[in-house]
Amino acid sequence: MNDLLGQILGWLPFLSRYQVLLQLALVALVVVGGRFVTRRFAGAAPIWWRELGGTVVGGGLGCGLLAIARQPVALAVLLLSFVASLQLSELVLRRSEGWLPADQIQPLRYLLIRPFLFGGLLWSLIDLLDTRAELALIPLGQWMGANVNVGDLTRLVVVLYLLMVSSGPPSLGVAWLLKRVFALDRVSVRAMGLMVRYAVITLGTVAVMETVGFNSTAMLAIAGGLSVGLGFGVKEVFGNFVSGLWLLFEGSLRPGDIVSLDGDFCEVRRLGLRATRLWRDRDNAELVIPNQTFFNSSTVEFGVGRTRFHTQIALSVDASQPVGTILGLLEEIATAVPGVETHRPPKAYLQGVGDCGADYVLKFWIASPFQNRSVCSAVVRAAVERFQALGIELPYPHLVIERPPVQPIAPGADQTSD
Amino acid sequence: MRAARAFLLLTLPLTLLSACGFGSQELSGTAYLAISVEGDQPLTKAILQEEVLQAQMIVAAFRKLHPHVAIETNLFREGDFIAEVRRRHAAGLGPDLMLLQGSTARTLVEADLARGLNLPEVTRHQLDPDSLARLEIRPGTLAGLPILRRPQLACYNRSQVSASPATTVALIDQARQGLRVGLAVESRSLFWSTGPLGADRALIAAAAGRPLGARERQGLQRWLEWLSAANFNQQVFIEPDQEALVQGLLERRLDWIPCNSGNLSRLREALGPALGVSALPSGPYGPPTPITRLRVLAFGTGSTARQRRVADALAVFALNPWIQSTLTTDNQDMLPTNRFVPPSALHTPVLKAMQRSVEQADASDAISRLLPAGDPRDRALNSLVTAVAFGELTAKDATEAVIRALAPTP
Repeated sequence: MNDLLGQILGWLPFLSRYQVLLQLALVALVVVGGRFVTRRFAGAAPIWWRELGGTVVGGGLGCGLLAIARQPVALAVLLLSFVASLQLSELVLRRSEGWLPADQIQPLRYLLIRPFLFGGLLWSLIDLLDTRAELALIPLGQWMGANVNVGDLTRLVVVLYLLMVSSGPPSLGVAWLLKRVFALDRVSVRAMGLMVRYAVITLGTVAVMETVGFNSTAMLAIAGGLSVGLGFGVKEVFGNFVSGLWLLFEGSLRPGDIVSLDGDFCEVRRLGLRATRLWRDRDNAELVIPNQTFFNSSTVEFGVGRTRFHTQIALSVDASQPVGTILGLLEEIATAVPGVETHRPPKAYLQGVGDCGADYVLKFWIASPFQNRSVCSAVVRAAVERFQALGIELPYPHLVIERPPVQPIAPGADQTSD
Repeated sequence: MRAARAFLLLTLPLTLLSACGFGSQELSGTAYLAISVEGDQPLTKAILQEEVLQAQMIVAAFRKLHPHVAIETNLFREGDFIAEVRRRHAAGLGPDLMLLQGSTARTLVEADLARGLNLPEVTRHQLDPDSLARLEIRPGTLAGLPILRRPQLACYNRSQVSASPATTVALIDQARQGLRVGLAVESRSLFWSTGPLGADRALIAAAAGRPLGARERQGLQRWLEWLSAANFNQQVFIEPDQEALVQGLLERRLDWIPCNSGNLSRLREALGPALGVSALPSGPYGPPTPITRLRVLAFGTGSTARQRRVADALAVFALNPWIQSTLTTDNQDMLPTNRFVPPSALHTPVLKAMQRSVEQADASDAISRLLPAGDPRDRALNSLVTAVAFGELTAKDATEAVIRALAPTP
């Protein structure tokens, strides 16, 4: 590690060369000046356009002047190309906000474009300052029985990064193919894609470690140790991870499904490997629920496309009214309320006669559990208004306090006693 | 503004630091030394050590005298050396010093990537005249400072053969009796065999663009036939490059190879006293024509005044008889370029074999000049030699093809 540090520090004396300082000053001037000018003289054009234009024009002019003065420019061109590429990528990302999902833009920016640009810059800079092949031979120490050098570590990191970033779409493709070939209708493509992806990443990592020369016995020992660690230390995390995989694989919970959680209906927004993200209608809150919750307890669930919900209201009506009339009235009232499904007509039942009168239950279908509260309220309101209009009493518990009549007290009577 | 502040915070202290000591007379600062590596084989730790060994020794001794000096080394392939220096030069990051082949130093000076040297007469007088002649670009101006010579030799495993065969005929005879001989199809590694078979003049004439006489053509065909016949011998192993030969001897798969004196430290470490070193075999048509690698210090053009001072001081130091004598006797894998190295320093059998090789190398100096490493004609020659060695092309057909391939492009 000291050798590597020494080698990197060895690049710094290049800064004593005026040709290098001149190029760095040009880059700083273009970047800072460009920012200042675009913000100071804001026009109609979007800011990223102006900054990119400033970098290209300012950088081009500066490099041209340096070239005319027969000064080196390659370092300035490299750094300015990096800045311009960064600005261009930002421009493209902002333009694609219209058609690319918002949750895809950030990963694209921070996992693909920026690492790629920074990696490219680093690669090119090393190529100018040092010899990559020589740098790669700098030893870092002995890890798991292998003499690891900078080249090995770089290869390991780059392959892992590429596997992580780029294995997603091909894995989904393979999963789709497997699903088609083996007619696995109940298994989600995403779950299979994830499994394929993890398999590819694991195999790729092992393969790279093998090429570096890591001792396979040591790797097995570490894997064993990790298993014990996972078993004790982070068993909740691991349990949630396995539950998430299982839920995905089973296909029992998918984005768009509606589940009942503590009596509230929530929509599944995103099924992660550790937790599931739900949206609760009641208060517009997003809930992050560990996957084990769904795995270990029974859950009421309405899948996508089959969210119709059978609900009911209860009413007490004057017991002296004819039952048949009331049942017909209730069904008629419910049918007329918007939101109540009519192709399966509402059905009213007499449940019994209670303290307040005859207890009726009206059952009807609605399109989604999320409408339960509003439609039930509308049905009750329609029933109350109709019964009031017809003069049918809707009895409710009364509290009657009867006080005994008060005896008048004769004047002069002595109230006291011995 | 934040970016500008960060830039200033980073560069200002470093610039101030690098400016420290401008006033002092003591030599200080960092100079960048680029070292060329021959061949196309992947760079390994062993090759790296072999190539930087002498440079490291010079630098270590120099730093004892000037402890505030640092030398950062970079290794480039000889074939890519000019392109690499040009790329870095275009960014203002070119090396201050370059340890490379003499022919490459000439090309660098011609391309304005290195500065020519006008040495004082006293220094010129110290240098070996052959080396000076190889480096002179104009009267009085040199492409670089010759530092060391690495002659081509025969390296063999003494536990398999007591002495190196004295002639090419004896070499093939011993191969028939079981001696495992390695030859590389690289022209630089194989050129030694053209002299014993009378093909050296033909190759030089073809590379210079001169018409070849009948005897020269015969010589060239004879050499190619010898190569073709050698491959039919089960004990002669044709390898793609010099590094493969060295690996073969290191791993004891081969018993005899032509080697460069630069390989000796690695071979000595692996074979110990079993390593035998001698001059290459001669033949019925003349002595061997080994190629001596002249290692030269060339000077970059983008250095600061301080870096230039360090570079100049290091070059002068590398030339002094004491350091040259120490490098020669300690490593036994190079010959000095300073004529005033005492003869007592060159008395060992290995160094005597090297001296003999250098004397024989006079003829091959011309081919080094006419066909520098990385020249497309050199690659064409390599592929033709490979085709002949593996029987894809007859020696007769290959003769004309070699002459055409070596013809200089107008």
